[in-house]
Amino acid sequence: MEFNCSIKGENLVKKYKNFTMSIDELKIPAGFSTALIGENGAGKTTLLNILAGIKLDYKGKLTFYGKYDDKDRENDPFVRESIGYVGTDKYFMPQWTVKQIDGFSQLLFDNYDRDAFLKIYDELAISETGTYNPGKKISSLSDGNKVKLALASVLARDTDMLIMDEPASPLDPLMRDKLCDMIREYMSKKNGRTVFFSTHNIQDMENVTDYAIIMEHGKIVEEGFVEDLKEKYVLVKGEAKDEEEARKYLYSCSGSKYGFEGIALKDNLDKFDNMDVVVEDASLFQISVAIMKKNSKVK
Amino acid sequence: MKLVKSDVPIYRQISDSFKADILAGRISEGEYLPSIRELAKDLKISVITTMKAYEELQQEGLVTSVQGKGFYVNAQDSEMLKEQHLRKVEEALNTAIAAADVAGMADEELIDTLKTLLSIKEN
Amino acid sequence: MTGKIKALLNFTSFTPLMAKIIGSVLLLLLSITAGIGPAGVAVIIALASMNLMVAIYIDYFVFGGIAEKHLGLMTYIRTSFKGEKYIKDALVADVILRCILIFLHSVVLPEIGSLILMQSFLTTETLINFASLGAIETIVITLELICERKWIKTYSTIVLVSMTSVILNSALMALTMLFFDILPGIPAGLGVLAILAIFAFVTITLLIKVCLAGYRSGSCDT
Repeated sequence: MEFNCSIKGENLVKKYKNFTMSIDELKIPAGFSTALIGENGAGKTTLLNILAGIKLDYKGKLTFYGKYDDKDRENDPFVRESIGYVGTDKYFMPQWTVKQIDGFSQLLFDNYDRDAFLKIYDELAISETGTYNPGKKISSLSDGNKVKLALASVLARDTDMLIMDEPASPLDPLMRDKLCDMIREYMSKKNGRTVFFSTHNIQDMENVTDYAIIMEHGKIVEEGFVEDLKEKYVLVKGEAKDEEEARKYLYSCSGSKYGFEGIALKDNLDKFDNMDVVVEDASLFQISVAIMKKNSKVK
Repeated sequence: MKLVKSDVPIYRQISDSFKADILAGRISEGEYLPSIRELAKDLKISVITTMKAYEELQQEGLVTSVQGKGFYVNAQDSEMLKEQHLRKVEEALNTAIAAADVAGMADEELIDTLKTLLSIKEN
Repeated sequence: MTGKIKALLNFTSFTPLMAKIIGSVLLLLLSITAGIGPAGVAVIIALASMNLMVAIYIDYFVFGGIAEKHLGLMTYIRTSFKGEKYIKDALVADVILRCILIFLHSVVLPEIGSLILMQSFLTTETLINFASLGAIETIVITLELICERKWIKTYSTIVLVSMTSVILNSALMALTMLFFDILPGIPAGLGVLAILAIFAFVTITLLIKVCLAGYRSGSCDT
């Protein structure tokens, strides 16, 4: 499928002492929601920080909306104004208050709408009292409420792109569902709006994931539209006696005395011809875990 | 739109549901389908799934996509569509007949099975 | 200017803002007494010590660690195009307000105190000398803040830095007073003041440069 990119990256490299992130080509399709999946330490936060302009010491080239590059991001307010970023820890200073976040936002972003902020604050029930609590300190908020407050401040802006680092992790199941609703609403409100988020909660976020990028050891190991990935990979179930033979063609395989189950490439299905197997559609979760297992150091 | 939890992929459920509505005339010629992102929001599913459903409708010639405006319903040649569906039915029945042959079932047995299945569906 | 003040006020969270106001009011009230007797210089030194201790405590909550590379607690500000300008505005407003406060408590209010009592202990010469002491206070406070914003990680270090600053400040003030005695007369006093003022300006520039460089380096890991 052909698509435009909200962000394109070429030869992105960022080096740490014991870790190097190196991405030859990055594509974030415009108008879609993309999930960034990978183990802890795979380089997800590093990549998101580079895209949001929080870390600037990287090599390579970024192109935003097909016409702005890295330099334009620093010289033209448009790019940063158009991106809303929700980070994890160290996002707000612990001693800041809700009122200060509101004040900061008014000074820092031209497209910030205070009424929208108060509305979302109320909608997400960030304060326990149910009313706006301007003096509330960030340090006294739970992790879930910190994410909610970050979401409120970012969604109160008229942006073209949302970049979120693990937004779902600290949220309860109800709030995760609400997060998905908010992402879909965000995308339906204005044409071409793009969402890019990292997540470990693939199952919770599957219904809001259009495109998936799977990272391992600082590299992209698989990517594509979810429906295309589901065409590419299938779930194969079979009998215990065939397990050894089947393992050769399976990405990940869990076996027991009753049988085996694993993810295989659809193109490799002919390899199972002389085995007694059942082939089923795989979920994004199953596909992701299989690919991660194949590349992981975790045994 | 009714989406029933089943083994049928969600995109197929959506396209089938629209197909039924279009063929029954509940959505008339020239009318636009809901926008992809609007529908994704209402059904709580991803954009790409909705898109795939619409693409399937387009491939079957039921709708046409207009850049920037969405998908509108084509004029339906109901005779031709019926013909298409008849062919699908024949195809599926042929598979059943072949399977029955392998199992060594008699024709009556096969017809009885069909009748039983139909009565189950009606109930 | 209002933009700068707004930026600073927003940065100053509620408690330090109160501490700041109370600290300033107390400082100013007490500094009236510096104009009512020959012990004025001693009062100035005592008040400067108080200001040095209060300032570092408040700053720890406002800009603490801003010049320290790995702290980088301000992701939200970094996402904004105006982030760096905003930080700079707040830092500059902070410096200006501090200079005004120091000028008020070491020159203006002692003079007011002296006028209230109509005793006029303070000659133009003494006022220039007081201004020189104010400049020394500015220099030491700025150096203190550079240390605190760059290296402070624990509360006990604050006490250490603040005590050291108080001692340094008192010593410098005492030394400068020797110059007053050796070189009495307006021209010499003005000369000392001019040199100290230039030095104060240099340290202030350094403070802002160091802070901004620290903020910028938070965008880099290497």
